[in-house]
Amino acid sequence: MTEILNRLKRTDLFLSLALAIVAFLAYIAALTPSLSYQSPDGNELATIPYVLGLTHPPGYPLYTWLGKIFTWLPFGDVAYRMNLMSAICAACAVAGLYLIVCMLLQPHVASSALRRASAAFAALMLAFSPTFWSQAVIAEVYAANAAMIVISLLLLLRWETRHRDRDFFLFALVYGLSLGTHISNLGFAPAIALYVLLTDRSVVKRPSWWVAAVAGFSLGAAQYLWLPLRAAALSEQGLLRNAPLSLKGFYDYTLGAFPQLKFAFELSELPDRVVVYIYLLWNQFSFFGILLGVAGLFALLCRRTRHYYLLMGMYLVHTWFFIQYRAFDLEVFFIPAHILWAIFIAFGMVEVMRIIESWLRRLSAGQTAKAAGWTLAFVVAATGFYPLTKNFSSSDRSDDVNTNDFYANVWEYLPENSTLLSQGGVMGYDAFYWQLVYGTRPDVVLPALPTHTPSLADIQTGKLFSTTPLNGINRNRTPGALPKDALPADVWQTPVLVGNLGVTRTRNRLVLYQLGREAPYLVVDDAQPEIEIKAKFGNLTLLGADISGDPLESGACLHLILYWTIQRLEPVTLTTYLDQQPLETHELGFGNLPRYATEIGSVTDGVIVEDYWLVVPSTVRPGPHMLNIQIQGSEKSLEIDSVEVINEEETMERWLRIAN
Amino acid sequence: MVTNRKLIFAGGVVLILVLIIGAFSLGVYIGRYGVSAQGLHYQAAGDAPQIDRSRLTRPAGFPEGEADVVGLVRGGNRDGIQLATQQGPKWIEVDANTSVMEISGSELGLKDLRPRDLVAIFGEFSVDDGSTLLATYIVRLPQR
Repeated sequence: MTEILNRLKRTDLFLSLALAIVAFLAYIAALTPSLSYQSPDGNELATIPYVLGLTHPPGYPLYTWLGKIFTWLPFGDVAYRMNLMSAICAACAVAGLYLIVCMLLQPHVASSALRRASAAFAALMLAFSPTFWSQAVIAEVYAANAAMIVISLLLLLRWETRHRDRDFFLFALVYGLSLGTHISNLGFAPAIALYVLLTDRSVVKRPSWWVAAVAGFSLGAAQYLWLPLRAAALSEQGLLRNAPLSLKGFYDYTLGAFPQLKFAFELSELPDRVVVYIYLLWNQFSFFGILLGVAGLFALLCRRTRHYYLLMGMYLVHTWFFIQYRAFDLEVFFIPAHILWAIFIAFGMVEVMRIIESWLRRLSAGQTAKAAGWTLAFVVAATGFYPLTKNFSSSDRSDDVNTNDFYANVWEYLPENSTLLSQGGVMGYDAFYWQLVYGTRPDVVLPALPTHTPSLADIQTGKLFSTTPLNGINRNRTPGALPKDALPADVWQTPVLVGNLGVTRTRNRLVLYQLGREAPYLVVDDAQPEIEIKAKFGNLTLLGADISGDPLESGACLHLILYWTIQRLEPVTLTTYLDQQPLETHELGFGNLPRYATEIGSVTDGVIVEDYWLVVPSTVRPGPHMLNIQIQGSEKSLEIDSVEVINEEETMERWLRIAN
Repeated sequence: MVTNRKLIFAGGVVLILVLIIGAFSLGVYIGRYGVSAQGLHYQAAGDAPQIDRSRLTRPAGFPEGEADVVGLVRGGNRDGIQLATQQGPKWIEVDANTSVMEISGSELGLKDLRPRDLVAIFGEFSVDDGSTLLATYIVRLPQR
């Protein structure tokens, strides 16, 4: 057999590097600048590597260690550096995919130009597919895992060419390590074993091969010793329950984690799940990509039978498992399957191009046919860039500043020695990040912080604030939670600072509430607003507003007081805008009006006062901007006042200054 | 070569089976939902019960108020139960303080709950997206 590695000529290495650079530049342009709510675990995964802690199950040791290296970079904040790691890993996966396809496509199947074009086409299709791209611009494990899978495959193909035990050792080592970016990679083992047997059955009789395989894999998988070593860093009750300190705890934290999500569907529901997967595949590669992939599978079967068993086996186990997985961010779990599908696409594309090439040869001869072949190759490779233009705007997270803008203002707002109640577990790292990484405001107690166990004294010395509605935090089951009955049942939650948040799956709104037994300053007898408006929206009248904070640094917040009268109490939802950009949406009175009417007095006889600080995103350009309000159900948008936004401090500098 | 032919044949059978499963699933899906995105839920709740939650109050002796979640039991383990609800799937966590009971007030164990039992949950949402609830009371309701 011809050595596959020899087919990887310098041109291929150069092209793979070029593809990686193109992908990396696109990822950098769309990179999330810091923390983000795009992934439920993203903020935890941006924080834990810095402190070399233990993430949620299954612990992701390799990701944690790689991340630690990236946190040493001298630019951006720590979260930015972790996002950058995803971009680099994703670009490596793209380059690796190109090399895998080049290694698999036999020279006699098509000309080198067509082979390279189809490999580049597949690599670009994957690089700029929506889900893959979404994970390349945030701190998450999926881009790193994609790189590990691709490197494992490259090493396995390298072993195939030489059958040397030391090559298999290297493959087994990297494969074992890949479990530290996603433990589901273990499911690829049967397909790999079958492929090894189909390639060289004699290896099972060779003790040296067994030593190489077992030693390599064990060495890679030994990273999971990190779990018991770092289990002491856990203090969140949900994780402590399955702390990896015993064999059972270790199993529950790794392979046994999330039992409620696995095989969660009945047989009758599986057809729907298959269609969900097809839908996700369609979203990545379009109907055209699905057709090419199916054609590619047949081509792979006939031309590369052993590799068909390897890749199809990996693909089937992976999709079979995750089709039955119940997660609200399901699409990201299929990224390894998308990588494999991209290889199938490359094989399908080569077949299509071969047909076209043979037509061109029949129509013309000599140099003309050769030129036509090159043109075809160029067109196919260039077509791979189509998803870049199509998906850029939806993948661009470079303006995702909401989390940092909100918390930067929260840290500035909180009085000395106050207590901030936040969510617990992985969802709480939007707040924990600041104190764990930068030691921000050490005087502020974060009871839900995994390393902190609050006492009543901790929270009774200062004012109480919360960034999450109380029904989610007043739990007595976690060491990091509040002591039982620490909060009075009749506590009022008064919004004092409101951040901006688009629609995300992990967070509904960004509001800092002040907690207290005193009823908020919500209804007054009369008011004299500085800006008189007197605009009527049916049952509701906006009398006027007071605005302070002009000029306003972008990313800072303006003080807004709105004065309303209402004839009868009914839910009203309003949205504030800066020009056309929505800032926040809330219910009139921030949900406190019904209780106020019941316990304090009428809200229809006086003037309702909404007094809060509103964050202006750091992405707002300097200059005058009009603050507007729109009532839900009314098409009318009401202009309040012009706000002058300035930008004297660079956004990252501001975040880092406030961080510490 | 013979071995290779056998491998190609077996691989072809697998591939055709996969395509048949895909086509069958699409057919079942279109039969259920038509050509629409109605069934494309990542966490499909299944046949969630149609319940007027406002009519559900806590059992005698408990504070007044609506149940936080009502749904059909889909499965579970010692840490909690999975529910299908009108608001989508919910994971109900249990701890040492969780009580499981019949609507009459008689005590039950978590193990007594069976798939498709209709239950009302009183507790606290533990994740901001409303997908997870720590149960204080799990009340098995009469079957419809």
